[in-house]
Amino acid sequence: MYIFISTLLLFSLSSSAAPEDREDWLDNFKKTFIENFCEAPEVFNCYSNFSPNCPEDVGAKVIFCSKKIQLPLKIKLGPESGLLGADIGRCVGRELEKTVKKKNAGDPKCKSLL
Amino acid sequence: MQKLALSLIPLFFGVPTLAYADYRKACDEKFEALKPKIDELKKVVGCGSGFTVDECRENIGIGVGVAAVATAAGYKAGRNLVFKKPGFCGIKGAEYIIYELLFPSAYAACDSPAASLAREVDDVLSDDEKLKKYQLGNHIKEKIIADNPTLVSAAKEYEDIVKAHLNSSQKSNSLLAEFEKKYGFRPNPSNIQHCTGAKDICDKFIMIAFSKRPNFSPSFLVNWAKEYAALYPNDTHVANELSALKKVEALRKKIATGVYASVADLTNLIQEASKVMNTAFSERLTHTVARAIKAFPTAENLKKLGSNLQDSFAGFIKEGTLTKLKMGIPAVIAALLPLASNAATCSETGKACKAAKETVDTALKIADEATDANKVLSIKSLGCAERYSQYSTVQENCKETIAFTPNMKTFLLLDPDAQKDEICRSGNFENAVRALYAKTYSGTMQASCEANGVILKDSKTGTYSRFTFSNDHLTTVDVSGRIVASTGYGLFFNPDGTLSGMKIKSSGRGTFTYLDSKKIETSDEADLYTEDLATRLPSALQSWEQCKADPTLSNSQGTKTFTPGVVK
Repeated sequence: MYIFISTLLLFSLSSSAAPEDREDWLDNFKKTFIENFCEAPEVFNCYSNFSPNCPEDVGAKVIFCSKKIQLPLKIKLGPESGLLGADIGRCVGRELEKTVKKKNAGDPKCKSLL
Repeated sequence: MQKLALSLIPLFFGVPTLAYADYRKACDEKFEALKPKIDELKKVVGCGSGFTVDECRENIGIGVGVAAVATAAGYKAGRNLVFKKPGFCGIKGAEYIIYELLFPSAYAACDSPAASLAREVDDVLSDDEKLKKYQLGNHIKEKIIADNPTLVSAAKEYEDIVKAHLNSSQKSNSLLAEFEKKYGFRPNPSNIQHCTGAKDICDKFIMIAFSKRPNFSPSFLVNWAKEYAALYPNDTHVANELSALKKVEALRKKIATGVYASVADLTNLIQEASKVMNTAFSERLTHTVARAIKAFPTAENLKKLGSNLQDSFAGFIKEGTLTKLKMGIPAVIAALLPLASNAATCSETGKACKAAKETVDTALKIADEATDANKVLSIKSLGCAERYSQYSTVQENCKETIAFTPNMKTFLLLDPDAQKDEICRSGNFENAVRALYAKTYSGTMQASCEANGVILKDSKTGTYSRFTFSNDHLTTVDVSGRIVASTGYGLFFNPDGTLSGMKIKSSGRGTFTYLDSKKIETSDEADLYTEDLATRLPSALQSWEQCKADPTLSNSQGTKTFTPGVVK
């Protein structure tokens, strides 16, 4: 079993995944981003004024930001797609910063985040 | 009773457990120990002393505050990564590490591989605790039913009262009055958990009435086993099961407060765990042992990480943010790139290269401690047990044509209908689980004691292995070959927690000769050997305990052969 798993692992590390169409990648990105972001406790512990419907609000901002960033037609999963995601994420974060307010500034965890 | 009754309410409405919160708390508490490593990493990427937090984050291009969190979330999502289970947050590939270490409260509070694996042992123990509680609860349920025929009749009558209550509360009131007169207590048809009368009678009645319901879940038995056990203080069976349960609880408490930082710590922990847990969980413990061995840095691991690390730094350079750095880090990282996959070339490129190599080494060291998530086999039978507990009653029409599932992992990957068939043919979920675990390793290990260790014979493969201990810590393992006839392998646990391997020549029972310069080099070999070792290790640890405890197993007249756990 371990041989199989490690072979699979090595294969997945060394092989190049086929690039995804931009729309497919964006669909997956949106879903995963919302899961990652809307469940990040540090955000909600340290900021207030979030939209009561985080997934919907953040989803709309993802679409807005993905249009601002010129995504290539084909996107290969890997560090580069990670950085495209980071660009969209940063843009979403900047958009959110316009409405959210800092809270719990005394909390050491928030201190390093705020 | 009121406490019991009120607490039952959430049980039937799927309220999430506190496990996640507990986990987060534990992670946060252990964060202090990780801080120095984060500082090391920050130095690598141009943060640390001399930089403010904002500068640091700007330097590596993730911004601050909400934007920082969103950037990190975007990076992960862009790579199609989701952290589905926080339990594995300490085990990840090198390419995540820079982002995640900067969000300590979210992810980096995860601990060392040893501590992560200790938590996995705790996960197995947690499931074992639940199984023990289930078994205890089930025993008590059967006992209550057997000892209280009157309450069984009352429960049947009560069902009629509930039906009447649903149709006409007027009629149910008169029926309830009769019921109370006849049995001396009064249940509430609006809420079975509310019962007026003697506490022990009401508790027993609730157990009987609940267990007859179609939506009765084993989690009721798990949650209330200990409370119900108090009804039978003099029952030997109950007392024995409670005692076994307390041992598991005590070990879990020890894990929660203990420090696990090395192979030796884990060896001791696994030894203790294998003593207190149900054998049904040995497969999972074996996998944990295998991961424990793999989690520690080896030359092979470092090689694999080299190529990942190159991607990470390449990513940061592409980002263009490194130009904002205050120190000469970009040059170092630029020099570092070609070296990441081949650090040995460093001697040719002088001083800058040496600095770069040191940087690579530091990053590799940190990254390696995080190991990689893909190797983690998550057999989460607990989650599945809860999900499929609705199928725990015997089904009337089993599909006899379907072949039995070969092992637990395959079972967990089946669709729910196929799982239902598997459970159906085993009678209930618990039996199905037991049967699946039993299929994993069908052989037996025979052990004999030596002065500083044990020799095991695996009945399934006919191979021998010698486990040597020093101060109760495992130091070497020699295993006769089953891959190539007469050629086996030896493993050495180094004091720093690393593992070295050599090929050996074996000639019969427990005789091993090391072959000169035949190191275990390929990852396939290492994988095969560590899995093989993991199968043997629990037996070896158990045997060694028995050898120490019973001098008659090893004396001047020779050694006795015994099966670990059962002295012959």
